[in-house]
Amino acid sequence: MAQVKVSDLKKAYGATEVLHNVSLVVEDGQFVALVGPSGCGKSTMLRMIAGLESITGGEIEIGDDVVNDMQPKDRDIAMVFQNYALYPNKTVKNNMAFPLRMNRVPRDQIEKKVAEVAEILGLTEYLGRYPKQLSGGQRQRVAMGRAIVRDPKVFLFDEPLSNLDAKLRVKMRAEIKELHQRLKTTTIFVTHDQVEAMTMADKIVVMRDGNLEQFGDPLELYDSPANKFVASFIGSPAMNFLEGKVEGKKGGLTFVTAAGLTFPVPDKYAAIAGQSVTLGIRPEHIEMEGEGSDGAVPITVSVVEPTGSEAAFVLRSGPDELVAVKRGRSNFAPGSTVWIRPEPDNMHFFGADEQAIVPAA
Amino acid sequence: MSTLFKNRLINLVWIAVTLAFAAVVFFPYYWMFASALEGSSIYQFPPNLWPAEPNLDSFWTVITGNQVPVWMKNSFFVASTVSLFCAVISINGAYALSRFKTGATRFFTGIILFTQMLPAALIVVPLFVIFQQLGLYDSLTGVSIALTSFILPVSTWLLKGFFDQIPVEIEQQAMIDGCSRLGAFYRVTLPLALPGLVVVIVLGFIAGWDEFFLARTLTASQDNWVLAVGLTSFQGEYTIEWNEMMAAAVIFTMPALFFFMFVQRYLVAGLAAGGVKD
Repeated sequence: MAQVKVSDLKKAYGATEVLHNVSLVVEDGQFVALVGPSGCGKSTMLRMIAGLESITGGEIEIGDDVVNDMQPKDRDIAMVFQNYALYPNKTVKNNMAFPLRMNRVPRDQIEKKVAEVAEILGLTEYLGRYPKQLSGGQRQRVAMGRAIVRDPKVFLFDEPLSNLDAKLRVKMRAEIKELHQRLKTTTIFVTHDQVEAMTMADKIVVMRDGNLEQFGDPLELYDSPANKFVASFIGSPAMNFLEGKVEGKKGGLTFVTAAGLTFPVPDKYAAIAGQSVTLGIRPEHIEMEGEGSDGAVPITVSVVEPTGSEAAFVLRSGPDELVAVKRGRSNFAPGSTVWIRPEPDNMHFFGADEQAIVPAA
Repeated sequence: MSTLFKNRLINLVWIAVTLAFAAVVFFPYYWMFASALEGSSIYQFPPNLWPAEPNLDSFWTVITGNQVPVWMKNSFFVASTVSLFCAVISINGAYALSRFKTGATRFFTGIILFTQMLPAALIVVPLFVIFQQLGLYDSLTGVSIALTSFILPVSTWLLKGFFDQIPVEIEQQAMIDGCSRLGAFYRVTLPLALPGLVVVIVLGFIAGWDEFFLARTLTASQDNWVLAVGLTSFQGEYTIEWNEMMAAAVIFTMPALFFFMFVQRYLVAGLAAGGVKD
């Protein structure tokens, strides 16, 4: 196990820079998820840590060693690729034994270790099979087994669950998390799925266009996003954004959109009175009522999307559109009018630079 | 007409067409074999479809009476060396073209294809002059080198296709698992490209075994002829020893045939794998 320290990491292909001075410390034993949309540089960064991509600038340390010029085989890392990258001409057993053989581990120890890991992952009965004879989930487990068997300093996962179907993905998510709790090996996990990141990671790194947007605990990112991008990326359904202006003064602050949708704003945002801002409110933080009450705003239900345990409502008022989520069952039908009220403590405001506006304490 | 009957009829027609096609393809081989077994009774009209008195005299004469064994040995040398050169060089070349995507490799990939557009006859004269100056004229090594230069572009392109289909992640995984880049290539990538390598080996061997044009131009003494060139010597100024020529031709065909049968399993897998991109 080891700490991974990335300092001012830069990557350029010719004149095109794809990673701009990214710095990050993954503590020993931590599970960190790198998330972001396609092309944000998360996989590139992971591959640089693995040694599969050259480093244009900056430094990567694994444990006490600067590994910039070290071969991947000398970094004592294990990686699981999106397509599993199993050796198709080797059996499950030989796939798992390969890294040990390459590191000249004695034969009896290889047998013991492979059997042990196969037992943990439920692969014992498949040891004699070839990858093509396995299902997607089993292949995924073999890839993980091959990583675990080495007992490396760091695990690197490059979107390992994206090729699985939704049900299996949820199952494997829990298995990987359980495995991490058991092994406590430093893990860096790349995914474009924020739910995966939220549910599995101790810390999340949100990236965009080669920049690190925010690094923190999953709930910290959810509760206090640093900017509009992080706010929109974390959470499902995504946060609602409304453009408008904060009007009035302390004691009677309101947020008004161009179309006239008006919500009361807590006094802690008095400093932005008179400013044009973006209001961010998560769907689960919008209270919905069937009848009007003080501070509630009428709005029309356009679409209802029930999932059983909860329902998402697409609400429209002129050009303004919001999504609200309500737990349990409700009988709001499309076309009907409901009254909504954003929870004051869960309102987020973003300035013209898209950075979050921090309220007064 | 019921559908079942219609399908059977269509199948029968297809079988008949296939058999007719096979007969057209195989008849020259049959005629070659029959003529070789005919012996001296070949000189009669109308010719026999089946030898009147089948015997192996012509084979015996060819094997013992002239230089066929020497030419066969020479052919074998050229075929094996061309096959070996093509395999060794194209493995490395194709890997580089497949894995290192730079402007230079793209340029070379195009250039290699371009060389295929030049017929051998076009460059045989410069080759003749160069080989003479290098002391490679009238040597089997010279023939092998010249022929390799013609086969190598095809084999490199072919093998590049195989390497392209092997996910680069498998190789990178091997590098993480403890191999150097070269180690990952030899331990993981190359075994996966084995069907492609077999195709290249067969291609080189068959091309070397069949070679006539370059061998005829770049060798002079009979001791350095390959079998394909030697076969022409059965055609004299006034007579043609048809039965002996056909016996030599049968002998000429056999090694290539056996080699083909031996590697056929890999070859079919290789050609199929090369043709389908996942």
